[in-house]
Amino acid sequence: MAPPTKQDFINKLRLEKFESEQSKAEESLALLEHIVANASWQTGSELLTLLRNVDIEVSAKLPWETTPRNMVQRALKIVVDEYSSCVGGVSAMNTSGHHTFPQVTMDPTGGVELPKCDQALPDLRDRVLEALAEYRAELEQSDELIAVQGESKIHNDEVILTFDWCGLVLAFLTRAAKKRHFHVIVAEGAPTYQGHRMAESLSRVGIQTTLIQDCAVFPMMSRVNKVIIGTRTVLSNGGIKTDLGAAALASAAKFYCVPLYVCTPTYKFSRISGEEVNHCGSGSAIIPINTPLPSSVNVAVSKFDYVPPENVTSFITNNRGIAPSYVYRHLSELYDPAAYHV
Amino acid sequence: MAPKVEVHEESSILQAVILTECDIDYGAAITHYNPKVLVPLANTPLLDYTLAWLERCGVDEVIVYCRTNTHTDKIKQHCKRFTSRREDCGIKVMVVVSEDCLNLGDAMRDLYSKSLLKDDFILLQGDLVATLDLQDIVAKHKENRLSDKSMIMTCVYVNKPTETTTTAAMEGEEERGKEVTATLVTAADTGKLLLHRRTRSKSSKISIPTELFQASSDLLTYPAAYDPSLAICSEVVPSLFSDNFDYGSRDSLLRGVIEQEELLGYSIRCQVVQDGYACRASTLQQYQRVSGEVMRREAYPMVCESSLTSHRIRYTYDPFTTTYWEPSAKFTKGNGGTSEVVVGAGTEVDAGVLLTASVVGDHCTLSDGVRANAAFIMNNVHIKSGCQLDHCYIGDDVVLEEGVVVSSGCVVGPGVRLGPHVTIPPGTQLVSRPPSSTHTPDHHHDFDETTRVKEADPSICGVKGKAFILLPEETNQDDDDDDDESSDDDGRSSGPDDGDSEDALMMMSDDEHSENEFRREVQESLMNGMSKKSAAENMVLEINASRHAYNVSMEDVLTTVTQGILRAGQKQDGGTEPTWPGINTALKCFVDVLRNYVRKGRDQLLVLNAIEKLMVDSPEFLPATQKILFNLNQTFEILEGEVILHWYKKGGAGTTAFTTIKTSIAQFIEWLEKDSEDEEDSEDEEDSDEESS
Repeated sequence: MAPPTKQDFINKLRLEKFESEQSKAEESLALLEHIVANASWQTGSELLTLLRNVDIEVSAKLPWETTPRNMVQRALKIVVDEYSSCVGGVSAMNTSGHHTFPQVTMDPTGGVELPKCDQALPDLRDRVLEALAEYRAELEQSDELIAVQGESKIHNDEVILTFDWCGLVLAFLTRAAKKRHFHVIVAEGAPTYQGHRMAESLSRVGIQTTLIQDCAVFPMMSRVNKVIIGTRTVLSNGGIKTDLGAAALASAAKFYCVPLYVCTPTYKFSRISGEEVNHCGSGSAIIPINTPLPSSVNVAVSKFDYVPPENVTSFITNNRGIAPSYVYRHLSELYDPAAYHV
Repeated sequence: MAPKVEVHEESSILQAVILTECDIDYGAAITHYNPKVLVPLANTPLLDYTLAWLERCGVDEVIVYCRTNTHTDKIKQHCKRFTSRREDCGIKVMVVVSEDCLNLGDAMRDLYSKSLLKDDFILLQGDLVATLDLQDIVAKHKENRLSDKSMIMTCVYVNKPTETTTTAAMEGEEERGKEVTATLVTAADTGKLLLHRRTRSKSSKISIPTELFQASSDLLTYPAAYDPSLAICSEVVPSLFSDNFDYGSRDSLLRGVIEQEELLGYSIRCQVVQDGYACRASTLQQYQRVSGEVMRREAYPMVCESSLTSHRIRYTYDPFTTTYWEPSAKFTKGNGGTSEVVVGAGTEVDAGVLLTASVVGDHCTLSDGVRANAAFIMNNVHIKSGCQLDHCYIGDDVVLEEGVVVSSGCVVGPGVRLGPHVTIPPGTQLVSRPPSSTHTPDHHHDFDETTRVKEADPSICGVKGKAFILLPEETNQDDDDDDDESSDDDGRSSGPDDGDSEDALMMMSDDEHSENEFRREVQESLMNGMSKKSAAENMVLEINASRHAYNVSMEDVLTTVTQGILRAGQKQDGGTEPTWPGINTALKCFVDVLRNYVRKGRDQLLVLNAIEKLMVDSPEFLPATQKILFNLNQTFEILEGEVILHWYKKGGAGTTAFTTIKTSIAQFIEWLEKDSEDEEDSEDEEDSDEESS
């Protein structure tokens, strides 16, 4: 297989050739590993800059693609950790008191600055690669780890409402269906109608399935026990940014006090704070072909929906269940604080 | 999975040919400064839309085909920038320059002779903005081709809703719209094209020849399918073009193939695509329409806010008013009905400006009170308060003083100053320099527009203004090449090949090759004609046919015909030594053919020069020269005595053979001189001949 290049990766991202967020994550990690292993860098800082360039490029061209950026942030954190542990090991003999390294860069004003890792450490490359490989293993397992929680979250004869296509939710429900018997209602997810595909896949594994329109979630909600959906991004405030229609669904759930669970691997946790990045589509997505519509009619199509944190009950992640109010804590574990405003 | 895909791609690369010299132009006020394909549409050059789309569709190699003119370098640089942005690992863009390409047919013939096209390729015009799924179309084409070897081309049409809401302000929209639609009749089962007609009549009836019903039971009729001039061609198409020199456009190929289906054994299919967007910005009216549609995001994912070259998000987009603006621009969104606007970097738009359906380039200033509807404003334009712009194009560096009203359909060329307080009547084209100087060394017939020089008239452009009206006069000069020697002359004299030396070399060898081929062919047809005693007009037809096929100038034709006739006489005799009787019969036989080509005094000189050059190559004709000249002069009356004398005095064509000819025809010249002294009346004519030559 050809070595992954930044150019190819961005092109693939741009042309929407990726099947799922998972494949985006895996491919971006492969790219980062390639950079760590093959690019010419001496000091930790140089490596950090190389990695950050990927992030900058993605955010300039495709600001709504958060997963690759999260991967970069994660890799930055790994490099900084490995560096400081290396330096810590060396400096324990020479000087002392360098263990507080990450604390030094916890500077809210100097957010753009990367941590200073000026020393050239010969074994940094290997250690970073090792840590990245570990992370890759975690990444590859994450779907499975979420799916196994299915049977513990779903009980017999429950009615579950889900929305649009999400491979993770499908795996989650499929796994649960092995032990439990329940009913799933699928909202179709206009205008892409991926919910149709979801309903088909669910009924194929023997789950009783009902397909409804997106706008019909409210009348249906009264008989629903749980809402389980996937997401594209988990925002730093605990809200989610996902496919269009989720916000209406979430407020209906809130109204009926139906718990809303979001299945998400931890790589979808992003530092983006709000709903400001919206990607706009084209009117041709919602207007049927050959409809003569006067050009004076303005058609606005957005692609993402924002669900505020108060409408989310809990995140089902590969680590553990996380409450929206706890997302910030999780972020600081995942990513390096210094790279906050990259 | 990934490696598999790569192997597949290597085995067959997908090529596309973009013609930058489109059949219809925007008018000299724009294209004199910028080639049509680099005119920005929503601040992105038109060519970028085409390239980005092809790239998105996985096309591996693009041939950008253009004619040698002042813009060639610009196009080259632009393509280089486009590919270098992609670190040369994406789509390959190759610029092919040709000196004398007038239409699509010429381009195809040229590409065929250069054998640049290897397999199926996509043929399109450089002003196409499209988002069709090309891969799907190409896959269908290949599939059809596997099942039906005679299928040579797939024409792509788009079934668009009829435009009932076309903007009324641009007149002529309806007529233009007809040119880009076609009436199609296809076989329902195969999609084979049975009838192709440009939609022109307003009647709601379509006549379908009854024999079409015999061939196939189900017919599908598209009364007005939009034609984006897009076709997937097999490698047969260029060869077909080069076999049939009279095919100038794709339409003529379609007609030819459909009419001569039994003869050629080829067929054309068409795909009428329902999904996706395709529209050509062929005229300024269409440009305006496409611009609006791009702003309304119909060409998604090619949208204004992301740059097509770097893919960066360059503009901020407000979906509720459909406005795009560069973050550095001073622009207040959503003030008083502003909608469908693109504002470039560093531009200052005051709060009191009302913009609708307009594009503003980089570093412009628009003062309070400016109203613009469907105005396309390029870079560094300064528009002062009170100006009103309506359906117009404003070039780079234009300054409009207070109170200028630019009416619909106007084109204000780069560098023009207007105002204050003038009204430009609808449809005016303004340029900053007197029109005579705007003539390029480019001799495409589009540029043959005769222009009238005018002083910078303050009543037109205002007291501070500097502008000249460019008057395009409708020239009815069609593709009739029969009697426009002047354009042929131009074709010869224009030769500033500032293109690649490589390209130039290629062209040279091509030219030489075709000339030799032409010579051979003419000789052959003359020999045939002599043995069959063909009528003169048939011979002329045959020679003209070869002339078109090899694209030879009138002078060369005359030279070749003259020499050919003489040689025919020699060969007909059978012997290696040319004898007078043989030559005489040949001359007698072809005198009408020769007469057809000799029209002016200058043509007679060419005949004389041709004879002289023949002597250089084959001196065995020398003894017969005097008789040849005498007969051409006296018996056939093709050469006038004055012309021969003039030619003689000037020293002929200056070849080495002239001295020997001089001695051999001395007697004849002497006689001529005596003769001309007798008829002094004809002195005037001689003068006029001299002048004309």
